[in-house]
Amino acid sequence: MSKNIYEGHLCDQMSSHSHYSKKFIRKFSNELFEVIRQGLLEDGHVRLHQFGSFKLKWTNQRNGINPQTGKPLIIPAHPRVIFTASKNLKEKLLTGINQTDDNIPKSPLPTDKKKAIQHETVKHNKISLPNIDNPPYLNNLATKNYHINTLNRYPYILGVLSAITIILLGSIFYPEHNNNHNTLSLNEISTSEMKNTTDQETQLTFNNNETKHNITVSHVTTSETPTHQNYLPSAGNDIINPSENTKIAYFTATKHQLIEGNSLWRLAKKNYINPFYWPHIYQANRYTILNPDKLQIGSVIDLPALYGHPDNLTITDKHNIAEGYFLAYQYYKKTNKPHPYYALLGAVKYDPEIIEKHIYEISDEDWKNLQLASN
Amino acid sequence: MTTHELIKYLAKHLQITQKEAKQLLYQELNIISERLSQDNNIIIRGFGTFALRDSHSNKSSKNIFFRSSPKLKQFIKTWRPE
Repeated sequence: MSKNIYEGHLCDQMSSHSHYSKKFIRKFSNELFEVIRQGLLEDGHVRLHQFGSFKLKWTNQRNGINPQTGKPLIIPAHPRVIFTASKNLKEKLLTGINQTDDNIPKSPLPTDKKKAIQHETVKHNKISLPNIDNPPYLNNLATKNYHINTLNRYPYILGVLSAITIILLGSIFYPEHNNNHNTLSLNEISTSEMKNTTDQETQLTFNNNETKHNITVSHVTTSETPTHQNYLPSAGNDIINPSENTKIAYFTATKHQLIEGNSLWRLAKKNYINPFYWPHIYQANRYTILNPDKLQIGSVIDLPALYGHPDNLTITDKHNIAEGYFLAYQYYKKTNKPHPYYALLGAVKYDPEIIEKHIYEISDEDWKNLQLASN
Repeated sequence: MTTHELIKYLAKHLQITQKEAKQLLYQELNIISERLSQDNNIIIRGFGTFALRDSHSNKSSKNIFFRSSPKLKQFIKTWRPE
């Protein structure tokens, strides 16, 4: 099957792997082909290294037939453009054509869910496209597109932050709905299993350097919950089950072969926890995915890293990660199951105080403590 | 016209260094060749199309085929051989 590809697609692919703007690259490609045209007129030939050469050839006048009417016709003498491919290009074509889509190794469908986790974690790295086997841009992708991606995330960040603040405010202003309270120490929750209480609220107390804190946690079970929380996306319901999760592409880029039932929304939910990051996947595979609503089964997709190396993070990235901690902690409180985010960073040990207080301003020392706690 | 002359001209026109122009040029040509190798037709408006055709002698291999667009044909019309 041959697809038609226009120069706009080429520019999109170029701009996704370089730090130039899309407008500039469009201008560049327009200029390039104009220069080639002018060079053809002036010299009669244009040679491009490792690609090929364009040449003008003069054709004499000849007799022909008009195909629509069948009448004889004289075709006047005119110049003609001839393209000859270089050796380098021909070799590339030979390697590209022989490896068709049928040669891509397909991962076997696992029977049990427990086996599926082991399968996919191992085999994700082994799947590789024949043509884009080891692209040089994959290593520097996270650093190059860094500024672009952070800008796109701001609306989602604000939405999530506002949701968290309103939930906290709601829990403070509506404590009178429930009369029964239970007291638990935080050390018990973090280490041992949380007790299943039939009450709607539980009260938490924990000590920290001669000060006491009280936190009330509400269970979303009945219709008596305040009206705020019905409209807001709660952390526990939005996040997917940890048993279905296999791998999280936070700091490392991976590849994924599409199966039935996959969508960008669900892939983002699996790999980045927050499903609103699906445009992040779409931007990276802008060329292979022409329509985000129609995905082809069997095609391989790049899952780019959200952040660069953990040592080289900016403040905004730290905020995003801290939000992830917060959501995962809420999930752990409600369901008593460790979220995959915990599994990645081992963050069960961390101090919730640091994040609840300094969710907007995390100092470097606190960040180091978080990283130490994760290790 | 050679690649060196082309790069010089582009760098002057777009006000970038020659190194940057060289990088961008090779990037674009690489992408075109990559997409050609996946059996796609590449259409550049105002210039022409690159496509693959079965070769007459060996059916397993393919040749590259370039068709110039009408705009290019009209642009070249005034050219005469020496």
